[in-house]
Amino acid sequence: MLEKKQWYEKYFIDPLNKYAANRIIKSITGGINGGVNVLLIGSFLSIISIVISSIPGLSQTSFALKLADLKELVFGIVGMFFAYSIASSNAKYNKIDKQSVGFFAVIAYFIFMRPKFVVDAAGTTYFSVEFSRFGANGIFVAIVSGLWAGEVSNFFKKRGWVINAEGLPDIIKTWFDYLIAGTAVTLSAWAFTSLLNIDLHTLFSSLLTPVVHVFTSFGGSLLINAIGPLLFYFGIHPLSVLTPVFAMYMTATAHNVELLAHGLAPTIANGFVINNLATSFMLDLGGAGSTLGLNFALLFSKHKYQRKLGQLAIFPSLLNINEPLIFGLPIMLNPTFFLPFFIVPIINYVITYFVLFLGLIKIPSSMALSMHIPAFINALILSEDPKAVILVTLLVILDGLIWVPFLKLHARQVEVQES
Amino acid sequence: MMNILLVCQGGMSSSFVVKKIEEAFKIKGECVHIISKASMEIVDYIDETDIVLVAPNVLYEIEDIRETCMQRGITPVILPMELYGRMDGDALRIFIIHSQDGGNDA
Repeated sequence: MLEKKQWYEKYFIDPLNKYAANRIIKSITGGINGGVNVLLIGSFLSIISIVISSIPGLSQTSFALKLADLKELVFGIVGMFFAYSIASSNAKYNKIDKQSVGFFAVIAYFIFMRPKFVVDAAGTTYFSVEFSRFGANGIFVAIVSGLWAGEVSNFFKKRGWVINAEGLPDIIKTWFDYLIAGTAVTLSAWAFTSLLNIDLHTLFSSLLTPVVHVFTSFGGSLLINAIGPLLFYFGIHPLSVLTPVFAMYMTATAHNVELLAHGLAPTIANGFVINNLATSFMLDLGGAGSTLGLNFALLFSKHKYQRKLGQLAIFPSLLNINEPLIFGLPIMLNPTFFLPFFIVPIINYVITYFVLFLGLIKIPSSMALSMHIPAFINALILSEDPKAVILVTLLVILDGLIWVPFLKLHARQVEVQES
Repeated sequence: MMNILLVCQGGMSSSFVVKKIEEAFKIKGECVHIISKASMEIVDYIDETDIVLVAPNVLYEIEDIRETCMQRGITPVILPMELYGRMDGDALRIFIIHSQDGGNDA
């Protein structure tokens, strides 16, 4: 480690590493990953409902419609879980009680929702709030709730502002430890919403709409698609940096899902956003950098070391895990592979964008966002359009062909080194 | 029995690698207990761990990882990129054993 640092390490890698290792960023990243748990259940329900709707005569039965409602319910309440899991991942980094802090975040999230209590003629009280506030639309409110609960609790705990219950059972001790912090989180969220009369949901949607527009534009999305592989090339896991950006794309997905729920067809004319998280996930062909095509090219290579790596890596690749390829080939910091690794995701993106723009395939509009489902199946789940599977297959073949000459070049280099 | 914890970004890629390491130990008739987790979960597992291995994809937070481990007197071992990528169980097994021979005073 005595050798002088390269310029890119000093100006690019070190600052990004510092950013990714930041507690706030790590809490958001860890929390969103944790919330995926709930999305997975919804994804599974999506698969069932796709299968059912493909059976003639079953798609409009009351069973199918009830199942669709269930799917909508599970996806619709995901924001609350993000609040909980962002808070508990923040607490984990601060080494304080995850569950207490998670609960406080959920309370804060409900306060920020600004529910109304409506009493009907019979005297029954109803809890009334716009349903979309529970779901992914509220992702930014979830992030604020989670971080606020986490950091406030940490502030109180670390300063020892707790009610001392020494000698009492552990569980009771935990209650008292967090009593002041929890009350502070609750009261501050309430003061902000009810006394200052600020609606965090409305505030965020007006503040963030222009930002979301930039990210979901053709150019903005192209940039994000190009940055992911670039980060990985320099050894920085893209998810550690880009997950907060995903939150932007998730609001676009929520927007699409809402339109879909109104019975609109997923086209641009109907206001659907092409660059939403579902589209990004559909283009995650084998992991960041879309290396599934590369993996197939390796499998068919003439060179034994390439075939062997291909065989080792294919199962992870099918689950969109490409560390074996990034570190094993290796791609990371390897000038031979920079060009294909960088260009392949861009080509995939541009082609897909125009295919969706021309309306040849339904715009992906599903909250069934799971990263570790084989690309060919994920395309069907996310777009609910079998033609998307054909698109993805063609892209993988194209990607593989792009990689072939670079793999040949690498094999020649390896031979020269060994002789 | 030795308890080993391998951490990576999401606990995904490491789950494939631990299988290969475990197999390599088993072939040699040595019994180890090895699990893979996301790096953020170290605190939950460190009490039952003797060796912490770090995948090359979480080097950005190696300082945090080191701090957490050092509190329990464990020096985390960073796995070499290519051995990790090629999931070379036996080479990793040898690397782990060597790291424990001379690594304790590091």
